[in-house]
Amino acid sequence: MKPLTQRQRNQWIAGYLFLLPNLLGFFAFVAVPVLFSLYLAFSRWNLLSGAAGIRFVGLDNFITMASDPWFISSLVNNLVYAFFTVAFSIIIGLFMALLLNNKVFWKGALRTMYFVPYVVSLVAISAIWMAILSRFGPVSQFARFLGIENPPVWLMDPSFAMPAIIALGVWNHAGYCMLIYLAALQGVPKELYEAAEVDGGNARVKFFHVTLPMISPATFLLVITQIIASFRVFAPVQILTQGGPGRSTTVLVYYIYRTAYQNYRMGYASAMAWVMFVLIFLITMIQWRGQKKWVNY
Amino acid sequence: MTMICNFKEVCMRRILLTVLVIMVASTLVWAGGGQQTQPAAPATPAAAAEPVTLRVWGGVPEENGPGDLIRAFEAANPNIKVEYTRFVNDDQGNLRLDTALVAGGQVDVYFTYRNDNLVRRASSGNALALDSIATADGMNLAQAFGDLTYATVNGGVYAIPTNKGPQFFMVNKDMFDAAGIPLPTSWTAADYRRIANQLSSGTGQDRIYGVMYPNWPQLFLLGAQSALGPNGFLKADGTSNFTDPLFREFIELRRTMQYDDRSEVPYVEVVSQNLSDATEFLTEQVAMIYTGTWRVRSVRDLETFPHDFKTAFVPLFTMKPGQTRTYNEGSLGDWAMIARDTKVADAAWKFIRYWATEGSDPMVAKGGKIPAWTEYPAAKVTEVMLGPDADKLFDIESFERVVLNAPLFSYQPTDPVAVTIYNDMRNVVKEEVELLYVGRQNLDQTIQAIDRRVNTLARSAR
Repeated sequence: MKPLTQRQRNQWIAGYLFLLPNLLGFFAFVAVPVLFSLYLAFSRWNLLSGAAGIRFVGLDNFITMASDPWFISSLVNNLVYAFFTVAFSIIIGLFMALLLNNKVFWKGALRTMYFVPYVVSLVAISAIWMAILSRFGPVSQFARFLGIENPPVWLMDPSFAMPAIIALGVWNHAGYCMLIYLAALQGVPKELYEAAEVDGGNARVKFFHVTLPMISPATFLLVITQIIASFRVFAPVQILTQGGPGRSTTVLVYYIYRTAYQNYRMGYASAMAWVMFVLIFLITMIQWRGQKKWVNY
Repeated sequence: MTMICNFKEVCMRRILLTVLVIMVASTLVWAGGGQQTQPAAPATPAAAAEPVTLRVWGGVPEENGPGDLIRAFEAANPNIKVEYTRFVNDDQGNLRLDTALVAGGQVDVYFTYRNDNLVRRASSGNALALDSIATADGMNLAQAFGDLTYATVNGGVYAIPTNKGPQFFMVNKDMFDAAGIPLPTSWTAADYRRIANQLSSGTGQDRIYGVMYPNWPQLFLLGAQSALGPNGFLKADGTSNFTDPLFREFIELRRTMQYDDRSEVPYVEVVSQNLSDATEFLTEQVAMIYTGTWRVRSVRDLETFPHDFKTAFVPLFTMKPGQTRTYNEGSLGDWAMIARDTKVADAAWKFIRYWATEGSDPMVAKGGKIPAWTEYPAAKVTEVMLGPDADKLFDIESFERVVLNAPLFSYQPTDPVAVTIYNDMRNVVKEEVELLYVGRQNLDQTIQAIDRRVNTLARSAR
């Protein structure tokens, strides 16, 4: 190793001094709270009792979780929500992108229309869905038109509440998936299609053997970001169903929020937040490992 | 190249590590120091002549009364300056206040709007006991404010009420008159069901319903709790009391009225369409709503809700024969409290006493509050609350009888275990009753499930 000259050392010090303000902010507002919440995950703490009231309880919180019906329902619902929302958002997003990648009328207008739900506030979207799904709203009217005399109250029916929340999530995210796919489709070299045509490949072959592999990095990006996003679902549940009917739409963030800010059980809430983090982390790790098998760069 | 790279990396890691250690260490030192400076005991009051600043936290926007009240108070007490901080009375706002209280040294006087929060704040040592201060100032708290069960924690009174918030049925008097039904002054659950039925008519989208409730889960227990009183959902030994037949009867009553009689607006409609009781009532879609004093403002708002019927007030019905008292979902409230670590306790007491008694005029006029102070003249409240068109809009006699002059007994929980699990209990009830309404379980299963889950909650809270 070459020893540092005085000048190099000064340069480095200056460099880090420039970084310091940012680092200070990062530590004060991110790192310290994160570490603190990790400590809280192993404690029992009612916020009102102050710092002196924190009691270390080891693994108690995690043991409680295993038999807490709210936590278990929230976890299961969250996995169901994540699976269907991500799958449908990506498939529908890809379909819309393929459509718009061809020559169609009003391409720009359609693209904007598909993308708008992604930038509209979830609160506004939820309010619109509430109207759409109400007893005398369009969905129920359509069901009546099809001959269903007493259509269910969609948001208050255990069989339909979760699908309704999922549909909202898909509507919200499909536009984003479409945009990413559109960009990826522009990047597929024309030569590959020409080569496939020369070899006698039809449209189906071209799609499955050229398009899909070539846009697999976009798919990979979308799967990871969409899974993370779907674990953070909160607003539609809070506004449309408040977790009901029964426990059919409680999700993790909603239950964590309720535990922390309504019941002030900070330790238990932190423990659940960490379980959620580890879960997302594991899913992401598995994806990273798996990508070698199907993602082509 | 690789050499330099490695070297850089090592160097960077070291610096990062150093920064991290310093940061964590300094945070710990800072946190520890902060704790030490927090006063352990109530501070001695400042000398009277010295000008003091009083930091007050309340949920009412300054322009809706507190501003005027504070100006009048400062004029009467030139050596006290009041700084008012408004927090929104929701989960986040209460969290903000609690954080300030726990951090210490930032709040002298604060308001608590929910009784369970009051018990939590007082029992965790964030409030000053007021009994001896009041006695020294020549005030008998029970005489001045009435039932202070909710402000009493471990034998001490920790808050004084600045508002009286009963809940009741607001009814469309014209509909009652048209159906030839006299206004009930005391009635049973059977009367209630019959009258709601008589007032319902029409089909489909045009159905006019007899009654509507807000979507609060505790209202699935309203009749039972109002007969049993505070902590009625727990037995004396701290286990669930949901096997009491009253819970079963009332849960069944509401289900029957929604699905068989169709005289109550179905809960699933209220939730899934976010129906507002003000809109439904003032557009004459329902004859009775279960509500509180805050709705008076909507009735007076003829611009948003043009209507030409008279609104009257009816108390809760009784659930069992011989029941003399109906406990209320509402209670005395808007509790004024003094922070435990205040350095200006004397000025703080002077201020909350003024707010709760002779200073309360602006809160009546602009904040729509009814002073809990027993000596406050009822006629003044009627005049200010119901406004100049009172004769046309309201049945004044029933307002004074039901809202102002009836003694107020609340059923909200006081027992520490009941307070701790109240939120979760309501969530359990909501979930299980929803499953009953949508036909996923029957009444027996519903009651059993609530009973079992509340027992689990109570066990973990003890």
